[in-house]
Amino acid sequence: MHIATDFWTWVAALLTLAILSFLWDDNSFYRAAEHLYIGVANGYSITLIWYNVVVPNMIDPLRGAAHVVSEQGFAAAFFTFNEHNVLNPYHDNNFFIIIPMMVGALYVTRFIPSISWMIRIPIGITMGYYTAISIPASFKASIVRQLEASILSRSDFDSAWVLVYGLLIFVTTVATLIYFFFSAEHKGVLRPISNIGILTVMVGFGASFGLTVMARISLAIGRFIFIFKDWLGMVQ
Amino acid sequence: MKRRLPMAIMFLFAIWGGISVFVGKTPVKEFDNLLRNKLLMIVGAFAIILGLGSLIFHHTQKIKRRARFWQYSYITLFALLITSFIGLFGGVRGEGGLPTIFGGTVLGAHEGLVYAFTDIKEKASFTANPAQFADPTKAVMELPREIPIEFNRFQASLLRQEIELRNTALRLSQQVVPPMISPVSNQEVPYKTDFKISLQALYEGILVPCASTMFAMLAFYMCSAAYRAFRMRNLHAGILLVSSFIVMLGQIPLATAYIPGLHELRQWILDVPNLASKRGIMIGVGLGASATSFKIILGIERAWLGGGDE
Repeated sequence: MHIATDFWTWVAALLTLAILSFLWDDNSFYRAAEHLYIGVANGYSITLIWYNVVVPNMIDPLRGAAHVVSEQGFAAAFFTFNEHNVLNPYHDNNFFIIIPMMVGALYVTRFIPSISWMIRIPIGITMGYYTAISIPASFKASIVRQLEASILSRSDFDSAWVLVYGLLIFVTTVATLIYFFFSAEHKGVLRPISNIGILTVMVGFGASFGLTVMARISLAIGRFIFIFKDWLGMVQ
Repeated sequence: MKRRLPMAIMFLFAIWGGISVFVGKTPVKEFDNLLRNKLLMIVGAFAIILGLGSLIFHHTQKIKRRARFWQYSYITLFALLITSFIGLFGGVRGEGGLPTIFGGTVLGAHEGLVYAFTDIKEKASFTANPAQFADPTKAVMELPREIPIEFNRFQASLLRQEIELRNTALRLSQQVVPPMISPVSNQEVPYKTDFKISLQALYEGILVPCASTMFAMLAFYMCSAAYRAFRMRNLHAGILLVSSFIVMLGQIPLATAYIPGLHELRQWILDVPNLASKRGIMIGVGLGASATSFKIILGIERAWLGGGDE
């Protein structure tokens, strides 16, 4: 039995036990670990954003622009030209980067009640752009590709079983879609098809549940291995 | 004004988003890449201020009002402060000005496994193969337990002179730190005296165990919820129960070893009926998401504007 001597192994083990203690009841150890997690996670996010977004996209260009100003004058930091001799306000080293920074700073207006409505501007920009580009992307990935995959192709006729499975997938996909089609009442010919749909959906939900539980069990096993092997050294 | 201006801006950017998807001309693509990869990232980065401000405001108000469990808010604020400080000044990989790794010279030895971390910035990894000592920057030592050994350049030079890796490392370690003997097994125990308080250490020591334990704990709650939900009340609940049971059982090596065909049955459930149901749901979700996106762009869906004044 080799109990770990590493400081962080002890911290991780005690936090693991503190969180697992919630299985018994809500208690001080769990709450302390939970609050510690929130604080560290946010601090970690701040650092990552700082180094991955703020420094390369804001600080470095501004620093570069300041260098350009000192060497070539103020205009050079704004009016740079690209290889096509077109005005290029997006050059790496220029002060145009201040514009998106000012737009981003409008998020802070949330804390100033008189102008808090201005937070809608950066939200609107982000939402408008990403909503628009998501339409073709989701249409392609979620609809076109799925329909393509559901349609029987030449390879489905390679063997009898493949054909049967291909047909089964096609029929049950259509049945699932009909089950979720609420614009028409499920009676007549739609009734048996939607019944097949609900049965398919139940199998799918059961499979998803089973996979999710096993993933969680796997994580739990990982934590117990950590406690008994890495921390207590009871298992080799 | 307070609603129409943001909506107009949103609409303009939506139009641009649409253009950028369908127009493949270089200037459009160039500007779109800049917008997507740089300008919108800058705008989005400021949202962290909003989140951070809300978090700090919430916890300071909780402390001020002496709300229920207010004492724990100090832990969150303190952890936030310390982590940010270490991260911002120490760097993500310890490259910042703030020292985040403290330690001795040579740190321990056990069964030929030697930990010798000293000056991390100058460290070089080696293999047990002396031929690779020629390249002191790339090689990684391969030991029976697959634990890499890292030495700094000074120790590397010593090791180069003395080919007997184990003996050299042991001697080096014992010069500084005497071997630690376990009172239980009466054997030598490996130990390290270096102490890290880097962002990576916080990530591995606090974030990973907390997050994985919280998710792992859900297994217990899911099992108790499943007991209540899966009682076979009707055919649908029965199918759900059987399907999930087969999928769970089919993932256990012991079960698949003793029940013939279980693995194949599990795989069939995942590949055929599960796939069909997921595909149907995905098509529905895709249609719903596209419709909602159109509603937002056309101003029919305005929930994102929030409440408040006109």
